Amino acid sequence: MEGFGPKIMFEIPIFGGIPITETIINMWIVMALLVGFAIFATKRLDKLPKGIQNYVEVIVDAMNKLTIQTMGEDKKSFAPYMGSLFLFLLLANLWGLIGLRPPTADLNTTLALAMMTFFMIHFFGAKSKGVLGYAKGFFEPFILMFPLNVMGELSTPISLGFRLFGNMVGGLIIMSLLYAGLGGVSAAIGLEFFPVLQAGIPFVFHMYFDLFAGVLQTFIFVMLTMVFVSIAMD
Amino acid sequence: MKKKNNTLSSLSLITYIGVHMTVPIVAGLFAGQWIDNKLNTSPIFLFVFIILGVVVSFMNLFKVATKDMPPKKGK
Repeated sequence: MEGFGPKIMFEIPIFGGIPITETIINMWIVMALLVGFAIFATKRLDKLPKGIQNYVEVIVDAMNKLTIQTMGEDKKSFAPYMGSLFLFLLLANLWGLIGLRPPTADLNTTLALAMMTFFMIHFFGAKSKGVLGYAKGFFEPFILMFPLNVMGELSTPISLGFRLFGNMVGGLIIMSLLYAGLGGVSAAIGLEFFPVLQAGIPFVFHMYFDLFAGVLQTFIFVMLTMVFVSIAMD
Repeated sequence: MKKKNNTLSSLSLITYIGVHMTVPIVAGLFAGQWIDNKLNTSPIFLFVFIILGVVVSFMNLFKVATKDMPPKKGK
């Protein structure tokens, strides 16, 4: 039986073969879309915005506002990173809506993003408090707590990565099972050449698992990144 | 000190509590099992790491819960 893991599409024949999975291909498409959008939308910038520039300004304004609201006025410079993270995750999570495998339904993607958050937390924490002052925080409230504090910090990227992965892959598995089941029912009533039941019923589940959970998890991931970085910094 | 704790970030933290609580315990379980396998000391490290995991998960929760409290004076 075939599993739910990402399929390997082809292999790059160097270093003994680097497998390129569905996840990577879909991620390339997402990246191309975002880069293309960025280039297209900022090609002609006017003082008086017209056309697509209006929409882009709404997005940028919203991200700036959200960052200031969550992290504070002094950490406004994080807005570009948070904005790209938000747009990437949003597009990646909604990828299931067009019937392809969301890139975030792969632990490699989500754990990579969570590791970026993890390194940001510690890099900016050490930068704003000084390396020694930051390291001292691990020995509080007393010195024996050091291993516990380290374990607690290490659990942050794991829980961040796993929660996004779990939500997305759970939705993916349920949707695949639902489509297979509806195909089976259609075949049982004599319509195997035209699985009519697959047409309307999955809509509700797509709304929940792709649209609702996808947008919510995107928002939570970005929000938690902001909260953790700003906690580490002050 | 400006006020910057809004409802949205608190909501995100609330939804995070469940995962944040279980991850150290499960991680402790696997770490303990792995060390036990390497050193043939089953089940000492398993118990040690599970207990550590429980303590760490409590600490994580404590940190999340007391994040917005003003720090004690006279320190």
